[in-house]
Amino acid sequence: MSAYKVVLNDEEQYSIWPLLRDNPPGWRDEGTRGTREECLDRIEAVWTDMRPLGVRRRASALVA
Amino acid sequence: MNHRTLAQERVGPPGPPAIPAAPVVVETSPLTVLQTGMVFHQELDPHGLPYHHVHSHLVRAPLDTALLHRAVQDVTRRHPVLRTRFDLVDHEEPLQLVHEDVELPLSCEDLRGVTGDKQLKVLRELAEAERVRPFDVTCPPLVRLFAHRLTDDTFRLTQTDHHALLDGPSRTLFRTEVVDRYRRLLDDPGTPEDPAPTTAFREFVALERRTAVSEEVQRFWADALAGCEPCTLPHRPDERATAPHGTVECEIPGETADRLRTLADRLQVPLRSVLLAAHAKAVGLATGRHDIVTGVVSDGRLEGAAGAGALGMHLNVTPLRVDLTGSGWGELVRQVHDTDAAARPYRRYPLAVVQWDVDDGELFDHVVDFADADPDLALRVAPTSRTLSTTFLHTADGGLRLRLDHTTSRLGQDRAEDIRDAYLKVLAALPDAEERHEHLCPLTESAYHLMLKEWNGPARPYPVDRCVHELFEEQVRRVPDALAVTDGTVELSYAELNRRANRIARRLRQQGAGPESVVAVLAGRGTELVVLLLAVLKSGAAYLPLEPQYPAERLRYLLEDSGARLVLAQERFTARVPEGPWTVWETATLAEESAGLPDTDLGRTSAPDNLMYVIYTSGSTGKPKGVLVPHFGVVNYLGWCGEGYAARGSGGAPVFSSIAFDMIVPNLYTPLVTGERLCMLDDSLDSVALADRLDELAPFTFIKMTPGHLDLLDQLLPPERARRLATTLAVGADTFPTRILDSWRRKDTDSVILNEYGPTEASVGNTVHIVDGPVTTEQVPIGRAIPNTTMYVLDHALNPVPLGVSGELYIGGDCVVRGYAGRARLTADRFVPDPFSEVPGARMYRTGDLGRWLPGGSLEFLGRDDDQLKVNGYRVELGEIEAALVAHPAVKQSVAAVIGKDRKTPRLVGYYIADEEIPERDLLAHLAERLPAYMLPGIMTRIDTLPLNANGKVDRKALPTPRALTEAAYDDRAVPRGERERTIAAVWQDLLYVEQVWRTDDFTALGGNSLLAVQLVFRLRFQGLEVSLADVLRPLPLADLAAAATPIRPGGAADEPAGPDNSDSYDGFDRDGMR
Repeated sequence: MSAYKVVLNDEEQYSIWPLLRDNPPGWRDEGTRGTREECLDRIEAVWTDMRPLGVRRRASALVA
Repeated sequence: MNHRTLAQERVGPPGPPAIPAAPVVVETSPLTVLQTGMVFHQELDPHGLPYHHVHSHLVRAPLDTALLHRAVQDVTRRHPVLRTRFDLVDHEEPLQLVHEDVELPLSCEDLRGVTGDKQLKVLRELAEAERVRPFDVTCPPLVRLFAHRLTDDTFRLTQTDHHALLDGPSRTLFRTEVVDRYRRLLDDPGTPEDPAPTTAFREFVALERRTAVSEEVQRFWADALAGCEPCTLPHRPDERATAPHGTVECEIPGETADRLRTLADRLQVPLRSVLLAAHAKAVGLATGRHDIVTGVVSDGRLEGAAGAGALGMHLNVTPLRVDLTGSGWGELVRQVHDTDAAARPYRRYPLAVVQWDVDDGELFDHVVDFADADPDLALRVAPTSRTLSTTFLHTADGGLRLRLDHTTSRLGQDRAEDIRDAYLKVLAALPDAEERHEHLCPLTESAYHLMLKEWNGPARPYPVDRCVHELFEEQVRRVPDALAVTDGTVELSYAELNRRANRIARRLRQQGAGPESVVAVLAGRGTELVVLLLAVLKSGAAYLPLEPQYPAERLRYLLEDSGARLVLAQERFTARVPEGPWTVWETATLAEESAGLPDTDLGRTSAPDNLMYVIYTSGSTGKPKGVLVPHFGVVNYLGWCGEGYAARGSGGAPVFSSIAFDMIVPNLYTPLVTGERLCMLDDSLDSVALADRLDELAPFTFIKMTPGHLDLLDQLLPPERARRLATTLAVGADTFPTRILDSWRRKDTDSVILNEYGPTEASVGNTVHIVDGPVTTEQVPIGRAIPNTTMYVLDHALNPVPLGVSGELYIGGDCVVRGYAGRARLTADRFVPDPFSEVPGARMYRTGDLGRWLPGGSLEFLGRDDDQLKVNGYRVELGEIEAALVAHPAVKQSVAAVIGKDRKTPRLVGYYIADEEIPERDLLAHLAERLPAYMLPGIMTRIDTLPLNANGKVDRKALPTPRALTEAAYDDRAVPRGERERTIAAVWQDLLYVEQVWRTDDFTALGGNSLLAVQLVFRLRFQGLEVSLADVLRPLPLADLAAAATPIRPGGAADEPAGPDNSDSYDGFDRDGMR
């Protein structure tokens, strides 16, 4: 069973990446490691707003 | 070749070897499975290449022809195999017979008087002649020898031998024995003969036979290969190759060899295991597979001293299955070692028997072997039946060499060299036992650059700061009075279209529409639809296009899942919108309410990274998934459309496909962002009427359509109309059979034809192939990436695979969309970090489509690795149909499948398990409430059990023919009666692949569509029966259709034989007569 980790980019878009492989530029570890399923479960739980960060910031600036 | 000056002497019998008048047969035995294969291969294909080897060696000794002849005959007397012939016809089974007395032919020639170059030429010509000179397997001996004196102290000994007699070690043994015996005779002509070896080849034959029937052995291999898919190398032939076989050989660097040995010592395995692991990995790289099976040449000769000296064909090839997923090199070596060792006791199980159950007859087409390098080997002709035969050679000084023999009709020299480089890369990396082997990139640096950079879409500026509706507004300013849209009833100029859209957009904003909100649109394909879509975009919101024909259940699901709060519906559709937490706004009311609002542009309401639309595609888990598409990817795509589709010609584009799919995007928006005309074609048009309307409105700048559309237009339009239809025909949304292209090209060589590929998840279109010459592949290639787009063909570990190797298509660049609405898990799984991009944080979309690079940098689409398929250009997940089917209370289990994939029109069919037969109509009605029409299977068949394959998955290939099992449900009254009904039924059966057609069936319920209906009409006309297309599609039941049909020549169908398969017989038929 291959091991994965949860990663996210600067727009706070989540994905999974092989545990033992270096992150591509612009991606950082979220902290969760495990099987593919475990990592995807984690993402399902934490990634509740799928709008990129830039879109979210603009929306809240409008509201404020 | 001038031989006359050369001294020539001949020893042994002149001419072909003669069989003694009454040969004494001293021994008989059956053949091994491998021998049988080799001998019959040659008998069945007498003009094929002989199955024999030619080897030529340097012997450092003076040549005494008489003594060499004696040495040869002495050795021949010791070994029964050298005196063996095959008898294929005179006995109950083929036999090999050993003659008591056979003289091996030996020709000697003196080449001392000629230059080295000339000597070489003579020997090369001999080898070439020998290569093609067959043996008669019924006449012993099946070995020929030649000696060429080169100097006073050296000669060349060349042997040609039938492969069914001698394996590699035996061949070497034979030559060594001849040379040894010769040297001893040279020393002392009185040296006594050696005693004959104690084992005969027949003992090996008996052992093989016992193995083949051993239950234990059979079980071992059945377990070892359970669920194993055939693993063959992608063919990349060398058309210019002059020889059928080629060889690539190289040294494995000394340092690498040393490190490999050190690793073997450290892991306490023989070097063989390390090299086998390297081979397995190299096969993985060359095939793009991670569960590989390859062949290991094994020596089955009897154990111990008895077997060691025996000559014969003792080889077998044993499968070696290796799991290449996620491990370090050391673990891989260990896995391979254990697998190889476990198979050793079972190595005599004949490969041919292993492969009996394999569909295509071949489990693998690559083998690996080990041998000692022979420094005296001067020339070698070694036919291989495999695509690739790898040999690791041990040299006398402890070095290692790698030899790849390849069949040039399947693997050219270039590719063999690529594979050699992959081996060297693997061998160099492997000693780092802790490193994970899956991270090894199989590409050379230059191939990497070519595929990842050069062949990818160029970076090209496009209006990154614009939304799609803003591009439209630019055209309004540029050509305000030009015709923007027409639907045959209402025509709007750019300025008027813009004013209407602006007013409605303002009204929508008052109601809360804005960036990131979703507004559903339910309208027929007319001018108003264009106004509504632009209004939604101008409000800053994204639209959810709803197909008016969807069942209510599906509309409810789409509205709920997308989170739409506003539904803009034309009056005729408002009743179809289910109740829910959304406001339904009748479009006429909306227009009235917005009448007084300002009609100027609204200014910036959304940004390019805001959503433009949400389009639902079929979901494998049973529910459709909403693809969230922002503006920027579509803006880039439309930039390409302007350049690739709309740069030449005029007339704009027609819109005739469903608004619920992104196939509509190029036809809908390209005219609007280039100031051209948009023609909206009503959704009530059937395919034939559609062809007429397109013809009336032609010419167009371009038309984007499915291959099915092109096929239909090809059947309906005569050449002059086909030619003037459009400057550019862009085909996409489905695989494009070259047959359709060729057929169209026969009548129209003027239009530019493009094949486009792209999923909704990557903003409509990503690659394009511009047809610029004959296409040799079965499907038109999908070409190369459009600007600002990258295409990758990757293996399971995200490594790019080599040219020609099948892998999964990934798409990177600005086209990659946001994800799936409300599905974080699925989004994270399909949209992954793009390790090849120079843009930090970039993602790529994993398509699930298979493809490969073709030489020259075009991509070929190779289908899916899952259950998704295309029906008339629509994406369909079989899982979604199965989920809808099993929702029926009486259905316990369900399978959906496609039949006729290899034929013109594949069709969906359903199977179910239930306690009793459910009337087909009930099931179809149940599905029609849940699925859109294009997803409905035509026929339902009840089955007792689900056929499963070795992996426990449903084996769709093993499903029965539709209706083959349901005859009991119908009585005789349903069987078609009379010539007419039977004629029609026969054509239906053929077009719809139905086992049985009943007189109560109608064409569309059985899965017939308009394209098939057109074919039906033509075919029946060919058989003297005229039916109306309208009646077929109405649809009339078969009995009524037959009653309504009219004979078109005296006698009519009654005189015609019913139902021959003449599916293409209307080619060249008067298609115009239809109109």
